[in-house]
Amino acid sequence: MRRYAEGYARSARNQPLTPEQQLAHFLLQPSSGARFFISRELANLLRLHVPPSVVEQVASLLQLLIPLKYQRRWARRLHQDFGFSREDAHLLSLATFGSDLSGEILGVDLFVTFDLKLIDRFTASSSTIKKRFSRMVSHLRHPYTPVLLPEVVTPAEALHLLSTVTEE
Amino acid sequence: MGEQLTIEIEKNLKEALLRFCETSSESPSAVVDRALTEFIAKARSKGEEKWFGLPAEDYLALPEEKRKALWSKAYKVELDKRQPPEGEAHPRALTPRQRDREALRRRIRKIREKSASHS
Repeated sequence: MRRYAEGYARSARNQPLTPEQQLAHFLLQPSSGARFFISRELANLLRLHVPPSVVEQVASLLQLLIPLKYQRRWARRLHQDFGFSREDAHLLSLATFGSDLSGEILGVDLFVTFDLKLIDRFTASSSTIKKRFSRMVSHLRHPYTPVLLPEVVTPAEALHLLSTVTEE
Repeated sequence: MGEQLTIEIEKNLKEALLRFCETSSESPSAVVDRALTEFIAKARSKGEEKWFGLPAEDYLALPEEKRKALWSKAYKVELDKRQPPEGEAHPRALTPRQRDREALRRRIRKIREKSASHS
């Protein structure tokens, strides 16, 4: 999100984009057919700290992911038991126990981040995280029982996945 | 007929203005009028273009780590605010299907293997 917003501001000034900013721009294309979400916290941050012209552009591409029951519980476990930072744990848990404003979805497929440390941590602890998650979910009731962890990927991987979906 | 405003300017600036007016064949009033309009518009847009309280140019010139730290700090502040209660999932909410997810995982694995073999 940050790379996209900064890239948008730089391109408005005819300044060259960094490779990461370019990647963010390729990814957040309305033509990809994917839906992109941000947390309420990130939306507030944008509103408070980023110029309105940039927020307007960003807001047209994104939707809010609203926390559902169990989101905080799962965030706490990711933070306390697996060492994710509070922000990362919050976002990861929102990707599982989050819904759009219309309540049509429960969780998302991909968690996209430039943070390679986060991806490494998630991958390295993947099997333990999954076990812990399954144990927690086994105690939940409908409609929470089919929830799944998101796949944590880089923007380049997400772009690859989206472009091959479009081709298929 | 416009409004009148008497201002004091440096002698050098006055001479430069008059020289400019001679070459551009514009009246001093027209030049000052345009310069003020542009200055105010620029100042206004600069005022709107604040990132974390910094002018856009200054913010965008910061090193990556500093920009990242500003976002991270602000995100923490948002997380510390009182959180609204968690919502309930819609009984018919669309949940990810295990079979689709496994296919997605296979595709991610393939992408990673391909990228590892290239590097």
